[in-house]
Amino acid sequence: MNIKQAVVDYFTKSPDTAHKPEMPLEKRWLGEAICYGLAAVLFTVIGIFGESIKKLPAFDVISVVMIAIICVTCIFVMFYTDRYKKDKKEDEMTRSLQDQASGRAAKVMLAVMLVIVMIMGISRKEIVLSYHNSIQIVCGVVYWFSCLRSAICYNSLRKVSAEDEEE
Amino acid sequence: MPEFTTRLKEYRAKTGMKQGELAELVGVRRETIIRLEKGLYNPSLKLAMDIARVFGTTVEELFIFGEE
Repeated sequence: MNIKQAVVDYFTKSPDTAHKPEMPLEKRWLGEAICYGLAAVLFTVIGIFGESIKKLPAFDVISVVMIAIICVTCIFVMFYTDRYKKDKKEDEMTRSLQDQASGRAAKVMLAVMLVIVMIMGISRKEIVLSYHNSIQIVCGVVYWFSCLRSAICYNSLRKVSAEDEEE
Repeated sequence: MPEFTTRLKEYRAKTGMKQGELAELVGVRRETIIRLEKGLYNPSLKLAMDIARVFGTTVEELFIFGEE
C-alpha cells in the first residue's frame, strides 16, 4: 500500500476496514521518547547557546531540523493517538500507566528545575536571556517532560510484558 | 504488595482459556490480564464485571480484597 492510499484510507474508511498501523504500543512510546528527547536536546542547547549558534554557518540547517522535529512529533501524535484508542491497543491499564508516568515525570522535572534554580542562586550567576531564547527553553522543558513521560511508560509496559510467563 | 487477590487464573485454567483470548473477549491488552492476575492492577468496575460475565460468576467471587 502506498502512502497516498494509506492517507486516503485513513480519512475515508472506518477504523475496522482501513489499513491499521501494526506498530506495538511499546515501540510507539519508545519512538516518542526518542523524538521528544532529540527535540528537547535541540531546544535546550539552542535556548542556552542561542546567540553563539546563530553565528554558525549551519544555523539554517539546525532551524530546518528543529521545524522537522516539531512536524514529525505533531504527525506522530495526530495519526497514532486516536487510532490506537480505536484499535484498543490502549486500554484502561495503559492509560493508568500513562497517568502515573505523567505524575512521576512532573515530579522529576520539578526537582531538576528546583536544583538548577538553587545552584544559580547559590553561585549568584545571572543569566540574561532574550525573548526568543526563553521561548526555546520553555519548549525544551515541555519536550523533556514528554520524553521522560514516554520513557517511563515504555519502561513500565516492558516490565509488565517481561513479567509474563505462560502460553 | 498486591492490593487484592484474584481467582482469575484459577477460573481461566478451569475453562482452558488463554490470557490473550480473555483479553480479546473483554477488549483489553494481554498485559492488563497479566497485571490483574498478579493483583498489581485494580480494574474498573466495568472491566471486573465484563470478566465476571465471561466466566459466568460474580465480581466478589473473582476479586478478593484484603479486609474480607
